[in-house]
Amino acid sequence: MSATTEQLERNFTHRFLTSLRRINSPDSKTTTTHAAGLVIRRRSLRIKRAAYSSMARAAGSHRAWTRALLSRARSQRRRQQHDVHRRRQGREMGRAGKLRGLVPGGSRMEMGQLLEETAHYVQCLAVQVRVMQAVADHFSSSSSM
Amino acid sequence: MSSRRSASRASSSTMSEDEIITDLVLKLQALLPHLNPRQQTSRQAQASKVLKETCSYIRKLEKEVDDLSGRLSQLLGTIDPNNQDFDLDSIRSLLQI
Repeated sequence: MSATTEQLERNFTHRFLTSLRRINSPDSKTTTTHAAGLVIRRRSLRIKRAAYSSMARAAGSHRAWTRALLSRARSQRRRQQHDVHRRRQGREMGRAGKLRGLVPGGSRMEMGQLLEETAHYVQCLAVQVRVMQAVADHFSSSSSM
Repeated sequence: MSSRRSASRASSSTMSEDEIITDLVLKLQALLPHLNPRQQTSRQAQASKVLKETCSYIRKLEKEVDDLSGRLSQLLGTIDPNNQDFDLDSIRSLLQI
């Protein structure tokens, strides 16, 4: 693993775990007045949002996809919607239309930038998945279930 | 260069992008070494394959994020928030990060 990827992984892990701790704190909104399944689903969405936001912040604002993702999250919070990662319609399809819909901010990028941002986004997603997997394995091995 | 290159506005119209796309996509392929497109008859076909596989890979990773978020949500329900499971340093050393 390169030094930058290591640093990204550390940075993301720190932010993500901090978010998890906050999500799991007893005074958060998931009280016992809700059915357990609903609690788990809602928390799952919060965790997902925290994962993407933590990664976008860890990756840095010099990337267009991170800025697009965080700004989308901010406007979604204002509209009180849950899904921060809602799929966008690619306005100009062409050969890369699907890709434009998948990469945050992709519909606004010219082709060269789109491909560069894609490569970075994919690398960051892979780190994100790897860390989430490791955290889940850690919690499941230390839980009493 | 190509006679098809358009001198008009820098939009994403399909025709003016084709050759640029092919070149850049093959560069993308080099950045994603795990992708293994079969040997295609044309560079264009190879580039299309890389684009398609990149989209599949992104969707796969995003699905994994969804699944892991669900799993973490279930696991968090079983953890005492006050215990040391959230000790960042111990988790980092366990993750070797």
